[in-house]
Amino acid sequence: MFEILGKVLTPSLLYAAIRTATPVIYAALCCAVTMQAGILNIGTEGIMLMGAWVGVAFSYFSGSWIVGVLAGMVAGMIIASILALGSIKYRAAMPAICTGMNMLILAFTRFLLGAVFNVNGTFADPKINAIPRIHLAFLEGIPFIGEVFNDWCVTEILMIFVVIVLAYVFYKTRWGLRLRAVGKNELAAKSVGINVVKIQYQALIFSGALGGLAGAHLSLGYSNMFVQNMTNNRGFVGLASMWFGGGDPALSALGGFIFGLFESIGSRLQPYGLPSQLSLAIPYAIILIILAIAMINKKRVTEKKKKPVITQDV
Amino acid sequence: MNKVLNFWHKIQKIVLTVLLALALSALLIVVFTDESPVVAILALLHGSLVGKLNLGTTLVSFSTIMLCGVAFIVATKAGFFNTGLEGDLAVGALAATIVGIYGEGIPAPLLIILCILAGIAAGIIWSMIPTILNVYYQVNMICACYMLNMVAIYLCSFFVLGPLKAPIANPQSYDVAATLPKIMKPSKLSIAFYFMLIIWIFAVWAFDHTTFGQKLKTVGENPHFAKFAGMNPARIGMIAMAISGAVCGFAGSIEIVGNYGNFQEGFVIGLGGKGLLAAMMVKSNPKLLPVSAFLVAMLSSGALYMQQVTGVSKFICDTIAGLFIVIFTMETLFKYDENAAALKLKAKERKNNV
Amino acid sequence: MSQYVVEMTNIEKQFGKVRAVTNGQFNLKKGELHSLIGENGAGKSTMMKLLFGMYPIDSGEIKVNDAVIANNSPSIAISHGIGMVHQEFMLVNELTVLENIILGFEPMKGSRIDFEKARSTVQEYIDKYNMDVQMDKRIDQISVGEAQRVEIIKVLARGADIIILDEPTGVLTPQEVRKLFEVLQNLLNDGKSIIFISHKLNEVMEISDRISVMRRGEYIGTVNKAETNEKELANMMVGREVFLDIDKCATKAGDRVLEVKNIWTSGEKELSKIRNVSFDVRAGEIVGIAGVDGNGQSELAEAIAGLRKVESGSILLDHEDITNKSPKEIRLKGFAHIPEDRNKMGVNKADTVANNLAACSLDETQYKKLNFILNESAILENAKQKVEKFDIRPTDPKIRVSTMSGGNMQKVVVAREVSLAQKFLLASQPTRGIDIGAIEAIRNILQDAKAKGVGVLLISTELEEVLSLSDRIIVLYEGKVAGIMNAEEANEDNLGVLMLGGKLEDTAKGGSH
Repeated sequence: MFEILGKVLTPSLLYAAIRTATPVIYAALCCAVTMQAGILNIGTEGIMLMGAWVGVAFSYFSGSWIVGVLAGMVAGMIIASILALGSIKYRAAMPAICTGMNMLILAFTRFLLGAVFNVNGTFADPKINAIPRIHLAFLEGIPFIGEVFNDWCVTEILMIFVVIVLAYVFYKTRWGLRLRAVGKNELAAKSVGINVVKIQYQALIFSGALGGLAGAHLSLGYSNMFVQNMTNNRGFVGLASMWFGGGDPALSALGGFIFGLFESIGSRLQPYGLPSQLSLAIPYAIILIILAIAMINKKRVTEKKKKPVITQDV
Repeated sequence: MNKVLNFWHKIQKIVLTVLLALALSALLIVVFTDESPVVAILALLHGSLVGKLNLGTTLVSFSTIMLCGVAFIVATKAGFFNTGLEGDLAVGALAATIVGIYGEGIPAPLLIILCILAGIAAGIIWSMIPTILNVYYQVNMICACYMLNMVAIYLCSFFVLGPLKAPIANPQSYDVAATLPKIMKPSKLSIAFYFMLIIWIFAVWAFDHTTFGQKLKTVGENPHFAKFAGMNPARIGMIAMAISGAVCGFAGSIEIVGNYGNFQEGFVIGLGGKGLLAAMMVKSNPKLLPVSAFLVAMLSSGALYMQQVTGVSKFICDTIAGLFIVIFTMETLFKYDENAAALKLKAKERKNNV
Repeated sequence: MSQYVVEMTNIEKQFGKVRAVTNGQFNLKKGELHSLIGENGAGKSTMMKLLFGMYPIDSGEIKVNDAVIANNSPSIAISHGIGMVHQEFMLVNELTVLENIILGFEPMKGSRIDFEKARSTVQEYIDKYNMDVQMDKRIDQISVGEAQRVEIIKVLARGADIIILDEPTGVLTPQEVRKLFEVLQNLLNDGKSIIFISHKLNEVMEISDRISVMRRGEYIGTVNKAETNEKELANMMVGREVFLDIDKCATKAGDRVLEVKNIWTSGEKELSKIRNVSFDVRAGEIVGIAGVDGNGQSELAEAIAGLRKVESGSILLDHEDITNKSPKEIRLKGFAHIPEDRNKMGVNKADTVANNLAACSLDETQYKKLNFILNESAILENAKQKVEKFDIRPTDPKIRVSTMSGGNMQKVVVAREVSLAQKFLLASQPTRGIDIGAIEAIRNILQDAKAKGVGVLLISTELEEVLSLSDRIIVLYEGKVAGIMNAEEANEDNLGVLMLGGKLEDTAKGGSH
């Protein structure tokens, strides 16, 4: 038992965990931006899938991963704008329009796969320009650090920056302060002259860019191909991670990392007899459990915080 | 005249949404293929309706979508957006398969009943997890449901490709020891179709004519009043979710003992979504559900034939459905806005007065 | 240049079909504290929200510093130097005090907010007006009084010279009120002008220069503080109303049906909204609870009905303990309740009249067949009887409640509850916002219930209603019983004094009417 654990829990596990976690972390950040504005972005799944398809398509036709990633982000922004327009201007219920959008994009990307690339299910081609991995020669041979921090994909490094930038934006900038005010108390924000609707649009579109990036990274950085339904509910895992982190970028990323860690552990336990389907199921169960624990804990804390009721005259 | 106008206001949204979704889809077909959209639609109709096999296959799909739709509507009436249909259905099917395989030797009618009961029980248990987390700890329902869907699907996959795997090339389980009689050979349609009709009729009747239906309606429409009147909204909501899970579990079990006879790996994927789609299309009105459920069933069963005959991708159908629902959820799109019109009129009057 | 910094003339405002303000008049001199008083729903908050641009006015004119303001909005109002401290604080609980204060006009340093500069600016206000505020605490960590000072700094930091305070003392303890008044005095000394909305006469008399009164959306008049007294203001506020013709039926008070013993319960925001209240109601009598709206009536009613947790004390119905029992258990003991908010709690508007009339008794055998099927013919039959007996219009029991008038909607509630009141009926504001015909009908129904031996607790802010129906009258002030008296001793004057926080000796001394 301990022998197996020793073989599984190696530095390279952390490297693998970062790899599997990054798409989920991007998805969680995508949800975090709208959550700060008080909107639950269930459409992350669809935004991500669209970003993944567009990323591959543009990388394939232009031969540049940068074009692919940027196009994926733009695609995400377009989808998010439709969601914003539908939910804010035309009063669609967010869960309903997002669920519809997820279904639409799942079908639409399948359709486009056939219509544009004339393939069914999977599109892999050497002409797809993948996001490069950065190999740092000087890290070679250094124990642990060399194993964990070398050979990161550009968008994986970018992810760390995005987490930091988002934390800065949320907590240090004017837009972030207003965003949080809109999310927590719309009326209060309105009363000091903040244009609530504008902030909501901006948050959704910004979130779309991150969701598109999540997808483009998934197809160009994580796997270098497009497979139908390749997001495989990662958008919802991102949503759960964000919920676990209460919309805070670092904590949401931590939630995503836990998912990635358990996915990696699961896949490493397979040679030791853990059936592959169970290893795939475990991270979803774990993220639900930690989310439940976080919420149960939150409830306990708020109940504790309630001041005792005075039942004596003062 | 006024009546005609009112009626038009009521239906204009559906009509315009259908037209817009069709127009966008036709555009897709014209842009990406050489076929005419009309040919594609004719092929779709043929593939889903003509011949016992085609029609039967559509009806099999229709049954499941109907049951999932009913399950979604029950939850909606109590104010839950139940996205966990697929997981409930999967565990229901799995439970029925296990009972059906290991219960060999039990008389067939009894075994079938046991399979169905096992499916229902599994569906209830699975639906209670997110419900309890949501009601007591405010864990987001949609989120929890999607996680549980994935767990359920992988769990099924584990059993079907592991302990229950039939020793043949196809990824499927052993056959269950007893199945329901078929009614439209060579299609897989079984008498389970009638069960579905009974459940739907009962549901439509029960929403309006039972004390529980009345309470459910009250809780969904005005929970404050429900509590005031002595009802327990949390308990009624949980019962509604349990019923929703039970119906999905039932749907899963009859897929096994009714339609397929064994668990085909991955067959549940997308089924819950279709039920949800059908229910959303009719704004959770159970009486209209068959219309949308049949439409969704046609789109999914006729699509393959259409692709083979015309070369138009079968995925265009799901795209149309998705487009429809995205446009349809936008409440105020195409809607005659009385308030805005009144305001405009007032502003105009004021201008004229000045 | 006129002598007024604010002039509002002939203001009209309608929300849907409800007239919120008609003939609204208000003006404010520089450096004065001008109070705007009236009962709940008198239109005083609406009037000031119009000044602050939260809603557009339908007609009339608003002038600030002699400039006519058209298309008013909060940002326009702010640019004219108007600031408003709302009754419901407009603060974001999850943000810090400092973040809340600078929200909307954040000082910047490059791409980030200049928190240092913000901190020093806020500190200046704190020092200048001697306000005690901790800048780094989150709003949900500070007291209500401190949150209110945050609101005042927020308004000042935006450059306001005209400050509107909407019911600022409602949520404060007496000590906090003193502190607030000191701050207000400092502001006046600094040349700011203040509009103070309230319904508490003693406070108004303490700090105002001038006082304007509104009643039922209308402007009644303006007086100088020096030339008036509480009694005159009370008359202006409440007004003399036409007594409806009610013959109080003879009382044969029997056994105690409801006993409330030393109960404490919390409100939505305030801890211990009801503080140590005790009273009882006997079979066959009507006990009225009088008081200005917001003094704990809603919380008391909800506590008795099992809709709000009782923190301490006990409630007995027919000698059985019902403290913190579920609404259903309480109803099963012969209790019925006409709720104060019929739209939220009294009816399910989306449903039919018949179903609404049966909603509280769905589990009873008369409405069930085979234990789970609705007995629709019984429900319909019941509805037909009630519609006729209580004169509910339109008479079709299958129409949706949402299509009915307020009075008929209330009759549906009353019809259902009165028939369920075996032993005790709790009637909360039973005639609020309905037409005169329905008012009379409902009052007669309450009398009939009493005559049948039901104990009735009538909670009403209409003094005249309490006086004309009750056998005994309890006055509730700030969550406590301010006095209990028999109907014969009670009149508008002595009740009015108790309702406004006075003591009865005061009227005895000056009571010459």
